[in-house]
Amino acid sequence: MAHNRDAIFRRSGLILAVLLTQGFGAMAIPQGGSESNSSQQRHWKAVYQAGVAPFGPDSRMTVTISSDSMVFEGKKGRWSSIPVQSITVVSSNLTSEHTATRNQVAAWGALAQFSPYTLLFLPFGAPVMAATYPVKSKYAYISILWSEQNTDQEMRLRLDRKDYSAFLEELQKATGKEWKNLETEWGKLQQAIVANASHKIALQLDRKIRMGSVELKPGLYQLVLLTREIDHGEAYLFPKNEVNIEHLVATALVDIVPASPAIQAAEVRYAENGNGLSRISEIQIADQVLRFPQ
Amino acid sequence: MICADPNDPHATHGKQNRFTTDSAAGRYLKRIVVLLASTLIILCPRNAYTQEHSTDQPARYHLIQVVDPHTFVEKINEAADQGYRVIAMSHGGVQSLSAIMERVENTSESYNYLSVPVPVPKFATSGKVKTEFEEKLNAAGAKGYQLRMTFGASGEGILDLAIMESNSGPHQLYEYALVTPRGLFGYYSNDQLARLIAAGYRWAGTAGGPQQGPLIIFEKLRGASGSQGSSPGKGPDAAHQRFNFPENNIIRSHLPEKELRKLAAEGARVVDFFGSPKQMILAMESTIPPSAPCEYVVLKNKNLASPLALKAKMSEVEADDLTRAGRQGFRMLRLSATGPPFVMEKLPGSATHYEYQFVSSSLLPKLAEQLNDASLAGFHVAKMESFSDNLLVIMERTDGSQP
Repeated sequence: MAHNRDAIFRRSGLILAVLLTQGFGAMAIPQGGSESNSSQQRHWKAVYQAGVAPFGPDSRMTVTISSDSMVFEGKKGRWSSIPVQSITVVSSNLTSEHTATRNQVAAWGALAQFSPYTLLFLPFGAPVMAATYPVKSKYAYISILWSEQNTDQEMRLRLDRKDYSAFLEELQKATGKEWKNLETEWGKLQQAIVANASHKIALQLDRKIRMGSVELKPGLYQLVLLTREIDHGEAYLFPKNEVNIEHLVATALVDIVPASPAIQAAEVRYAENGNGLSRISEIQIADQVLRFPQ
Repeated sequence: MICADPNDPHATHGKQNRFTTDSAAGRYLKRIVVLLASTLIILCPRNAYTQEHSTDQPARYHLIQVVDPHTFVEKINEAADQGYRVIAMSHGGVQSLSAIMERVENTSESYNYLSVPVPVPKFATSGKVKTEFEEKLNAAGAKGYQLRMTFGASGEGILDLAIMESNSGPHQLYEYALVTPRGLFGYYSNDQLARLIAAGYRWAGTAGGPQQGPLIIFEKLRGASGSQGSSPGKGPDAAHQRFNFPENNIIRSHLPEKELRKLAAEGARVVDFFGSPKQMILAMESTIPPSAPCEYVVLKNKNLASPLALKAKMSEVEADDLTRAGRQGFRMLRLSATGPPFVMEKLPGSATHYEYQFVSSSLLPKLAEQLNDASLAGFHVAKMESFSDNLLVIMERTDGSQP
């Protein structure tokens, strides 16, 4: 379960990093407006994942967003409220999970702990698990970071995916800040990468490198460059020959400078990171040089 | 009730006359004035103090509790930029990392932090984890970062993390060497430890989870040799140190108290009590020739038979229990393992007395406030632990010159 969540959050980290490089990140952009003073309250069903609240993992809770606070209520009662103005970052991740199969595995595990003889019935349970494996549940994971009275705190919640957009909208109204809907932004990014996939550039890494927090093994990679301004862009790296958004391994902001003379094949220049790993410092493609951040 | 126009002099005179002629009302007014005055006297210093602290001085403590390790280091560095330094860390809440940062008195000092996660390869072998982790620690040490603290194994699927610190003082470089348990029974090699000690390394901490076994981190200043010692003034002559790792062979998660007392009587000192919930290890250090023995007190929960003796209940260790031992000169050791048991040590000839206070809250701002209040009474943070969904901070006050 924990490993599952780790994998989810690692994935969320990657998606978030991608969106941050685009400038889409979950940064607050003050908007203000009369709607932010709305006194309407709506209750949201959520599942507590991790953080500062004294609830057990996966415990159900109700979140109420008002114009001045977010209130969390669990089975044991109300815990506390977050002053909405103290919220500094809201980040999110959307995912599909094999919940049905996972619950069955957990149930079999519990039965085996109760009595190992129950595993005799596993041959009957296995086909059911296999049959329900394609069934996926869609969830939205939300991380809320806030600072108040000399503290920095974080809480992670899971919401039904259908509530995701409305929840963010409500939060946006209350805080007067814009929290990006990553589902929409991720969709836009996917479209942009697919549209530029025909201009992919093959790169051969001859050593192990680090890009951001990701270590890349030597081998063949495909680079897709999305130019945002005339001298800035985003580089997306995919392993082997294909540009498959599901296999995106690394991303970086790059400066684009003209180069002469133009070359045919992409040329990678490395720099030492100081911890025994190299990093890409520059890639020359045709008549352009992509400069990677240090 | 008197209704009068304040601008009408006659009306005012009328009011004054009424009060001077009515003695009961006069006494009543006097009482109100005296009450008001005494309230002001009582509240004034507090108000003045509150204003001074709220406007002039930043709070003494800054608390962080977040889930993501990257955000954790980011928030620590943000607070460090504002003049704070990490003094305690712990797992806390559900899968979260907590830190207490204290305002640095010397404003010319500033700190910077980076995190080094214990690698979790797909097919983890202790050798691979050790090599990768050692490389990362040494890379940070080569940039002037020193190991500050580690998060022990939480058993909650949280990444084990080492937090490295660099300061604005003289630039010093550090080297790290790790020791992993070997063999079927997971013993630490005495030869390997002896070689490290001879090379000038000293015990810096432990890390690692239940999968790969606890790693012991040794540290030395770059260029220091064995006879010079790595950190002047810290510990005995490195060439004559020896470590013992007794374990409780009956309940592996419990402190081997009998072995502790036996080794302590021979002059050994407790270094750490660490490991995973499945297997805890006591580390004791002795010198050759043996030094004067320290005294130890172990405070732990005790079985309390219920009135009907149907089930046993466990007593809890309270701050008063620590203070009672502290008044006899025993000081709580800051061990990696979560207390209780609390191991308290009394150095030979020590005349210092200690007092303890527990501070706990499920609300971080309230905890910060309680820490600030306790610090005003002379207490400082000794240790932070995760305690039934809350954070428990053990605060210590000393009456001697020893910090």
